[in-house]
Amino acid sequence: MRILIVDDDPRLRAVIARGLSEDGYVVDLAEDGEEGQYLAEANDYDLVVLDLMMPKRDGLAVCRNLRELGRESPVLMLTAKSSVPDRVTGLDAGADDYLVKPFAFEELVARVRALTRRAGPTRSTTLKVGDLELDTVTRRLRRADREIRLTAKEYAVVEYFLRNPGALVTRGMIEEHAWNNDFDSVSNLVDVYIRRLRAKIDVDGTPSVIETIRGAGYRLRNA
Amino acid sequence: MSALRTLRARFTGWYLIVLAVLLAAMSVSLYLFVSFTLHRELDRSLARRVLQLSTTPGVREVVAEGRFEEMLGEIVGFYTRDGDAYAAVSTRPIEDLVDPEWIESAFRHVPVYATSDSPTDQPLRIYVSLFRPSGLPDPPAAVRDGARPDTPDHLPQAPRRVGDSSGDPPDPAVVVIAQPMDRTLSALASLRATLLAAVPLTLLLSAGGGLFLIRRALDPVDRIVETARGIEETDLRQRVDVTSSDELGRLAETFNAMLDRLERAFLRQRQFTDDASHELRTPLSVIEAEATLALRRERAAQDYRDALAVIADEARSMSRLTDQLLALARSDAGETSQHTEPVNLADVTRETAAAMEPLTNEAGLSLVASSDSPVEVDGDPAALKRLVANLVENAVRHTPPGGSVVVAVGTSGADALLTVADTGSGIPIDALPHVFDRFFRADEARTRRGGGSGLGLSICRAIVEGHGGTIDAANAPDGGATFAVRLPRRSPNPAKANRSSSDPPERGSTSS
Repeated sequence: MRILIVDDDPRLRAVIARGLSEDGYVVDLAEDGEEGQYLAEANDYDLVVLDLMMPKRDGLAVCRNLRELGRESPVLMLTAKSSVPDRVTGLDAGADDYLVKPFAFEELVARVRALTRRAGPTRSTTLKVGDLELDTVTRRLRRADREIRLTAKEYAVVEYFLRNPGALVTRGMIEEHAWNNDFDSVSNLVDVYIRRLRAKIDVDGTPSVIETIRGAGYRLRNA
Repeated sequence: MSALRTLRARFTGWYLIVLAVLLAAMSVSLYLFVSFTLHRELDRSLARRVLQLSTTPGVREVVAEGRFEEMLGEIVGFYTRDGDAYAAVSTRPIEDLVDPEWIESAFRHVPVYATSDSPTDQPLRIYVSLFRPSGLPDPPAAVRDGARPDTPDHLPQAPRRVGDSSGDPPDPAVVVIAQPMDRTLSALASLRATLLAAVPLTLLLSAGGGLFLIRRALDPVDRIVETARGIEETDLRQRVDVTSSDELGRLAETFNAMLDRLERAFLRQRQFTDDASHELRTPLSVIEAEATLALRRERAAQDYRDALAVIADEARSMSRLTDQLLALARSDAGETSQHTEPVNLADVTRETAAAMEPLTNEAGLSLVASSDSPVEVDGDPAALKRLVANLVENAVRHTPPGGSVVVAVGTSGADALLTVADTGSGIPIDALPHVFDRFFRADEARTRRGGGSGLGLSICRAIVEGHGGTIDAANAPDGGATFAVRLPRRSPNPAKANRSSSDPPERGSTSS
């Protein structure tokens, strides 16, 4: 899950990014509307957290522009404006949710979970494919009755596979959703993580749950 | 709405009353004039008839013999003395009509006009005059007696020759002529009827037309009222749609202009409130998030220290911002510093600059404070210190390391002049008009963390204006910004303030 945070306050940006990273999200940061829009156009984010009052371009304009460009990423607006007309304007500009500052951090995280869940194939907080089961709240992966411990990055990769079961997943797609902008795509980090996940998840003597599609990418075995 | 109705009713009522009085006066005058003219015409026709009879030879005999050809409804008679009584000959009996006093009066050369007021017969106008038969009428000038009463001017009078040479007729006679008044009276009656019908009708039409016109004229007032009522505290976008160029058009225009000003003021205020809430809510969010995140699980001591440092920092900046907002709110409320005292601006500036040296040193700048003579103003020393501190802080923030900030105090005419100049990048031209606006930051990309709260210069302006002075921002030709504050100098101190000074003042002592 890759999230873009657009806010002009560096400390708020930093603390949100830290918190979301701890939860296994991949976070990109933008400090004003222009940069935010540039990043949101360039990448397919699973969620954009957008401040309303920003220099250069305000959140409303960024949100409208993204929607006009056909970008479907859910947008969570973060703003000091709490009046009903302001909320209505924000939601009508194409935002999916609206959170008024000062907000409780746990509420922000819960709303982020809700919005990313809404975009996927299931509204459930638990993703199930075959005997794999991922709880997106507690972030625990189970295979049959065995619990598998994951690092934040491993979780991000697994979550992406479980959200796209049986589909071809390219390295680029994994990079896009599990790594932020600082990631250097020349490296073979994706392959490293796939190997680690196979080692953790697979049972000896059975085919790997993540099969390799030669020359294209990977696929999560559906059964 | 009822007040408006009253205004309309009042207008209509008043002009109907005025119109009614005028119409009544005019009608009465017209009636009296016509009546007078018709009566005079009747009297003249009687007098002309007498003149005509007097030129008719043997008219008395003709009347006496009953051969007189009278005009329609006319009665002609002649009275002669017969001892103590009168003898009368007439075309019809006239004794009932004629008062003997009239005959007597006529014999005394005083002709009489009268109106018979018999209730049964139709009214008659009667003329009684001495009868003097004559072949030719004499020129009127010779016979006029202007002093005679009861005789209208220009009436042709029967010639009156006392002791006539002809001696004919031997016995004087009085002629009586009566003519019916029906035509005159009926003309007057129809005039009366016309007036009695026309006046109320005119009033009625005027009332209707007047109400219509007043309603049309006051229509814009209704629209103004409607607009004014539709304007909410939070929505001042509505305007009155009145385009006429009359008084009400001007009223609507003025009203709209007032709404413009209100809307601008309201938008400014709302922008300020939005900015203030944004500035306060963001650090609150940071504090909450840092604390929550730190408490999520066991962390290393350094992580806690970092989180607490951020929290402490945010709390400090919030309390500073709160102070500034309060200062601005007080100045908005018109609460200028109650306590003013003679202040030596040079001393205040020197002390404040000295106190800020650590800040400038840390920023790698040199601070130069020059003031070679005391400059006295009336003011609040604490506010003036804050003014100097804010200006220096602003200069420090916008000057790269290695530069300098020069604070100078001097005089300029009747004003004390405080200038703060830096060697920074200056103020962008399009930002110059806004540097004193609240929450305005010329360098937006730098945002609140690198810059100040965006309120420092607004507070400067509030302080300066509270002291009756002015503050201006300008760019120096060689780069860098200069802020110039002018405050009225304390007047009753000629000995010290008399020293002639230049503008900008000389830069003397260096404190840094």
